[in-house]
Amino acid sequence: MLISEKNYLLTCKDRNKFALLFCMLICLICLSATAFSEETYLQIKPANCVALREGQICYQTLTINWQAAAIDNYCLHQRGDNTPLICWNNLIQGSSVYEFAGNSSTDFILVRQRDNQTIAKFTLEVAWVYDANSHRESHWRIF
Amino acid sequence: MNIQKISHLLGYVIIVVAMQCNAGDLSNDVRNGTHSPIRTDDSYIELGMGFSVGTNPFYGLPEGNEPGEISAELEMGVNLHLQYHGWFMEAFSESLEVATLGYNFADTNHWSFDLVGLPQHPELSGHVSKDLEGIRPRHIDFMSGPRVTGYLGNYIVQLHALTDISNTHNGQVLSAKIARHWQYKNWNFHAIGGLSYRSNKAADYYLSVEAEDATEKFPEFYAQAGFVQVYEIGTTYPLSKKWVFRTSVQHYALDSQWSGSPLLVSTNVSKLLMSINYVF
Repeated sequence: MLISEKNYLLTCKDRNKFALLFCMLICLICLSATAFSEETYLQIKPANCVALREGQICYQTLTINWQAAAIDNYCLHQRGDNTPLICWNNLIQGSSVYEFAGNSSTDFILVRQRDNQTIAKFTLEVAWVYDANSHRESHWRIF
Repeated sequence: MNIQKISHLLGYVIIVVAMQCNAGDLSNDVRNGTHSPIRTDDSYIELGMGFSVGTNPFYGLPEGNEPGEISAELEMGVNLHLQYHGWFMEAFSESLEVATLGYNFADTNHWSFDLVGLPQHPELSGHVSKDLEGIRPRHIDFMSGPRVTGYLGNYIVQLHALTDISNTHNGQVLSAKIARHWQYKNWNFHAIGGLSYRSNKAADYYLSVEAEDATEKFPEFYAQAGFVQVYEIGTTYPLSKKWVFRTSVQHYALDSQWSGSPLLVSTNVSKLLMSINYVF
């Protein structure tokens, strides 16, 4: 009876240890995930550009901030365009100002040069106040 | 836009609130950088708060108006264009025209042909200003006729040929305006120039003082047909997807032969307008 009580107590102790280890493991996973997401980012301010009318070119001075996981050479691109807008060499983080001009929402990507890997992305929304005219066929009407 | 105008506009809005939308006011189209007469079918209503400062040509409007007198107003503005099967109503507080009712007969890629009805001249009577007490009242008119609007790249041209259908003076107004817009960054600049002709009957009704009505304050004067030149420059800036800032300077040069009319204090008047508008 005594032994079984001891075994029971030990078992409880083991269970507590296991739970503690499990919690620590979960915490480590969470911390590493947080650290990763904070390590690599591309931030652009402001996040949108507003034109008066749909289809007009929208102009906006953008402040760009980025951070990567390791020192390397990085370039900022518009998605779908191989020509880099800005490049930084041997840096782990950087910032710059870019004069945007465009008539539609645009994805900006931060690309690691050595392997052409996209490491972060930011979408700049282009909006407008007035919709463009919808084009219809010419028409005449009499009531 | 005063309270009376706003109440009239709200009345029109109630009538056609569910209608679809279309636009054609030159002043508004050039501000918005419009390139074509064909519009979306969405309703178009804006509410705004505006400030204006400037001079007025008519004696007694506002009360105490004297040559060079500068009056300032803080006013609520309504901008809207509503359309239903070709019938439309448009009102833009900063437009060179007041509210316009009309019917759109035809649209091509570059031209719009409408039949419109709109007031062109204000009421001049003791009812609207104590300064005008004792004169024969001149009532607000309602004129109608064809309006042709052309959208040619960054230019917009508009022609009106109006006849008074309210039996107020039975005169005619013919006008031609040309407007252009430019974009610099997100600022949209515009300029408008126009010339309008007032027939003998229209000029005589509003500006003449006949011998039997003449007093010391309002001496005898006979006005002939004449021209009014109008100029405007301005800019529009989108503050956000829902808010728009507008500012403009308007100048009217009335025919110099009317300068002797006791109902005018000046034949050259200017106005500065500024507003912030919420787009629904």
